Amino acid sequence: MASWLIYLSTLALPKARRHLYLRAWLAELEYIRQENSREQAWAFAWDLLRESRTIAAALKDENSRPKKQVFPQPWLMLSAGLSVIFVLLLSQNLLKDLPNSFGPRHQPVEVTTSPKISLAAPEESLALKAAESVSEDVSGELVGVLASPQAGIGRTEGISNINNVESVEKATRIETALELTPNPSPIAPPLPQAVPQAVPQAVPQAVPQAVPQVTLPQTAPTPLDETTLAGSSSPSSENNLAGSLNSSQTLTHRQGGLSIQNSSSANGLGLSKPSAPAELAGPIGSARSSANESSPVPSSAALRLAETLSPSEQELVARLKFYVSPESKNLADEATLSLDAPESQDFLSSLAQLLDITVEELKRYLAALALDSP
Amino acid sequence: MASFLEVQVLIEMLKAPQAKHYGNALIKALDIPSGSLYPLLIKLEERGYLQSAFEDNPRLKRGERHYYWFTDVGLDYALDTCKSLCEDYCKMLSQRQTLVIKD
Repeated sequence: MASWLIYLSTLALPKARRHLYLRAWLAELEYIRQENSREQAWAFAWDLLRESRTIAAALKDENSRPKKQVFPQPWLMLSAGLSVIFVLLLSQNLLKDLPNSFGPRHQPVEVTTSPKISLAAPEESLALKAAESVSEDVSGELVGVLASPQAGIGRTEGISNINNVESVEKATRIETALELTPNPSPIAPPLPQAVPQAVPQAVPQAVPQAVPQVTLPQTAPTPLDETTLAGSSSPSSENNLAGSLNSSQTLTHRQGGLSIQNSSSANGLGLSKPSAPAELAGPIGSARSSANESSPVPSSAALRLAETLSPSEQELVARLKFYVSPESKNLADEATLSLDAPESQDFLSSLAQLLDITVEELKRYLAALALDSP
Repeated sequence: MASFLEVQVLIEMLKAPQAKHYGNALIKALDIPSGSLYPLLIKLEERGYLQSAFEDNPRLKRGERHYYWFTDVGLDYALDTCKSLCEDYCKMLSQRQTLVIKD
């Protein structure tokens, strides 16, 4: 009967330990029966049954103890770390192999004034765009000449020459004085869209106002500033990409002030010497068009206009062509010396009078055109 | 902190620290109910202070007894517990003697 009590007391224990303690307590009960009295055996069994919940709680505490934390295998951790390192290295290599469009966009560009300029593709494209925007302008042919490869200097050098607005305006004035073509000249290279926009605004307003005037206009545009002229030939020609962008901005301003310069120069020059500017535009324009078109043969219109020039005017045109020709740019030092030569003073004075500027300004401008190196 | 019953069992087992003890002997010596002894032995075993096993004697025709004995950790634990209890008991005795002397 006491064994039944022990059996009942083990029912509260976990199954894993139930048989163990049943076996132990039954053996102990047998010893108690043999060594002691039955009453003690009953007391032993009764106490176990009474405290069976306590015993079960003690065993449950063992089962409810937190188990040991199972860490992953060392080889698994090692392989995971190696895979992470491999992925990082692979991603770095992929980033290095990405095209330049994913790389840094603002790369410094060194633009020098040497004739041999090697530009990267993006900068060259920007310079070409700037040169194209200049060449689209009516009076931008001078810059177009500068930007042409036949001019002996690079495109960016031509752009660096027009970094400030006033120098560009001065160039426009000289160019317009040389051309003075109210309508797009057949000699000039075909202009895509800027010609119909710029010329009708400038010339029709300029010519009717210029008719009553007889003498050369005294109220010419603002004289050249030395600083601006110096800036045109200053070391600022060594620009980076930002510099080329600035040049495009000046080009925009230049287009805005273009009609005024055209009209003023057309007023005076067109009336005082009606034939000379038009005649001047022929050879010069043909030279430029030939330079742009890469054909050394001048057009028939240019030859026809060149025949109408007087000898002195032809000499003037020849000298002027020399100053803007590639030969003079290639021989920049000689050009500078020839500007200071005594035999060039008459030419320069006449040209300065024609352009309504001082001789010094003209010299500086021509020097800036010929010598664009610091 | 060990309970009074736990200290009693440890002291009884420390009388023969290298020997193997079984439940009925402890019950007889301490005069405690079996329902109080076995949960305590189970706890001490789970803590690692005791080890237990059935006796291995095929000649016995009776049931195999379940023996308990100290582990090394359990022996140290039992000694430290009894030592601290004796210190506390000594302090208590000394205080009581001073009180008796004053009175």
